[in-house]
Amino acid sequence: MFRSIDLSQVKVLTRYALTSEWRMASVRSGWGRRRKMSRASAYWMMILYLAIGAMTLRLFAHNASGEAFVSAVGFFLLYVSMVTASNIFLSFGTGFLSPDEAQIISFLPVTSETFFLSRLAVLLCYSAGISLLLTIGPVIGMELIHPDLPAHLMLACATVLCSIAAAMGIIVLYGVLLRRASPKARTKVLGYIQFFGTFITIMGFVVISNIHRGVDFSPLTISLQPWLALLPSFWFASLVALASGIAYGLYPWLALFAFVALAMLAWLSHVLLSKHYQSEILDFTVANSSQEKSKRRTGDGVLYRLAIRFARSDEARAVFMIFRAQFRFDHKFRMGMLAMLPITIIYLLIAIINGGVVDPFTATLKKAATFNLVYMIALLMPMLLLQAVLHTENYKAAWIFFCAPIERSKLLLSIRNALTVSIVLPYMVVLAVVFSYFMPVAHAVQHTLVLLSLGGIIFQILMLLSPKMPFAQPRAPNRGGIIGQVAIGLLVPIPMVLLIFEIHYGYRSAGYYWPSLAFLVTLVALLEGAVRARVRKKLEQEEFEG
Amino acid sequence: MIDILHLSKHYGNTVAVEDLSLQIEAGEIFAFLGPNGAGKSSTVKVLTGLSRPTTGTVRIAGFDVQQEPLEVKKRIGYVPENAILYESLTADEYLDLAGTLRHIDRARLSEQREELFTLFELSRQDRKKLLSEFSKGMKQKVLLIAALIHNPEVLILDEPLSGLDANAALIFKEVLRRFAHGTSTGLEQRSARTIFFCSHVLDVVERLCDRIAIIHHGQLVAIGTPSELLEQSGAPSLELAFHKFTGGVDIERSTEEVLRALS
Repeated sequence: MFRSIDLSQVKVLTRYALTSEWRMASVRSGWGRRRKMSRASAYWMMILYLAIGAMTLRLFAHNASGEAFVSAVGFFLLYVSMVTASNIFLSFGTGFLSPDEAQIISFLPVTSETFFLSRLAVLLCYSAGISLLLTIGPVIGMELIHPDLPAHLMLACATVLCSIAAAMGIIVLYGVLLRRASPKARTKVLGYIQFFGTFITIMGFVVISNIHRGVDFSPLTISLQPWLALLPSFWFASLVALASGIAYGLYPWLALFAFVALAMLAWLSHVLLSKHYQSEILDFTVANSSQEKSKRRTGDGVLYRLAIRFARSDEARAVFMIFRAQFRFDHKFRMGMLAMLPITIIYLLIAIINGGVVDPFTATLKKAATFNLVYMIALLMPMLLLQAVLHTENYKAAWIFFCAPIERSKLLLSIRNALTVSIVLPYMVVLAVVFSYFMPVAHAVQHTLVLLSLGGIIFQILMLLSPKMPFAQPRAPNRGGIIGQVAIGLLVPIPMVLLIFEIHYGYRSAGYYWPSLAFLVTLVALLEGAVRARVRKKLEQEEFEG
Repeated sequence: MIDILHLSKHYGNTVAVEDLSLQIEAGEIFAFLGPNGAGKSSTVKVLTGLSRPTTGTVRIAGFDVQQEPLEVKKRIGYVPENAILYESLTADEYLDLAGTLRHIDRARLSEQREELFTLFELSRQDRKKLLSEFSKGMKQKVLLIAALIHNPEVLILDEPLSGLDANAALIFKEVLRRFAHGTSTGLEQRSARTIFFCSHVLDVVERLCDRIAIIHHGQLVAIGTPSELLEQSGAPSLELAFHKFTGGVDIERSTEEVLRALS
């Protein structure tokens, strides 16, 4: 089994891959033109994980000992698995299956098994690192609140092992996909797996977060609720049970299961992927080649012809052509555009679980706020869309915008208009229809109009903060950095505060509603002038990134 | 040294290479030419193990590319058409990675790296920069150094001069000539090497290469020394011979049509 693995090669490949990953996370922090080396972004992420971990301390403090503690650990480990899974789905999965990486290595004397092991090592280091950061807070905190060193040290070990198991579970999933799906279908299927994987993990987060809130886990022990033994995270939690002296019933068996599961996953990943890793990944190159893509339908639909015919400028026509081509042929772009749909469904489900969608015109402010998650996605949508149209893997092709005698600002303004007409408006119409199921139609429409106006304000603020040439920015993990994250962090609350004011004051009567809506629409219109001036000035100064 | 027997490569219904057979001897600089989309890169990808042949076999230094890929990869150096590198490593780190994967002794690796960096005029400062900050030509130099560093028996070059400045191109051509014909270049020398050279720069090909093969629509249409090809085609230059073998359009008439369309 291990004859074709060269450990010295594994070592060097892993070392440089980790260096590379660290720099990828660190480099390009900030939205400046120069790509300075800065570790700030990576450190920021580490602090974030530490903080998230520390927040779960409340869960353990409520359930500090006995089987309740073990249950709390079980749910914490489920949460950590979700974090690991979403990280792999969102940013690391593409690295694990990157055709570029395989091309760099494929002509060097490295066996598929060696390459696979090195990539696996990187993935496991990454998962173990994140889980360790998440567990530092609970371990230290619990040791101070309720000292039991063996149990708390085992909590750290179990967290790392559970995270590694989650990562390997995804590798096995990828292995099955590569073995089952045809090379042509792989990219598409992978895209959907990542899309729905992310969907499921985000949904898991929400469910677990709802369970966490100050719950007393005493009745949720394996002794009383044997179904918990079906959750793999409880197998790893059983290790903590053994370390804290709970060595009866199912716990020893479940602890054994944890190690058997790890061994099984390691064996399966070897059988499914290891031997054919390089060649399977290289098949992506062929599947993604222009020859394959050229076989797809390229005819123009009526709507497209109409849009092109009535575009107000050549710049608008050009950027709309690219937008449409990207949507049709770039799977990641399409997924980026459609990302808000599953999130909307999740948030709607949460609202329904919490008692249905509240009519903000009749409910108290507190009750209306329980539905804020759906409002938030409606407000965040412009940001998601704008990010998707700015960043592309074909950013080098944007040289044509920089060389052509065009008014650059029109490109960005046109793409914003195209997004508004083709995605934001239809989305809001659907949202209004959904709202009308839970409240009177007039209320649903009026509320949607407010959300639309606030979305417009967000669009305008984003364009003011960071105007960039569309389809001209490289797609890179963690791009945005601290400045971007802080800006977004400050930006989102503004429309939320406006919405709360609107619900509190504007929704009291028609006499208040229409003037307040007019105020919001006027604000959008007033911002338009500032946006045009700013976009014109900034884009004329922008340099080509390719 | 390189034996290609009845090689075919298909992508779905698209035929990239069809029944290609070539024998290339040790010490030969062999040019592999063809118009865009003729199947050159597909052939190179099969030679280097980047893709599998649909049918046929390829042997390099006596080893089958499919059956013993590791033995083949130990013996080849490759410069790909597109400079794909780990952009977040420095040039030093990248060469350390390439050398270590080839199990080159560290002292020797460091010595060879130093010599080649100097030869290709990459300063100490450049070597510490991330490859993402390199220009196309500088990346090409790093790829060339990585391909030469283990003193391979076979060098496979896909548009190696692309992006190189005039000085680096001159040096590189001289290195290739001596490398193939067995004269020491500062690298450890064992015997004559084979170079498989894909390029569109025909005057370089004419001056540098011992033999030339031309493919068109995936099939071999001509093979021989530069003078043999000129004789076969009856053309005064390799450029025109290439044009003739690949069924190019009437240059005079096409030029006139283009100019008419522009006016």
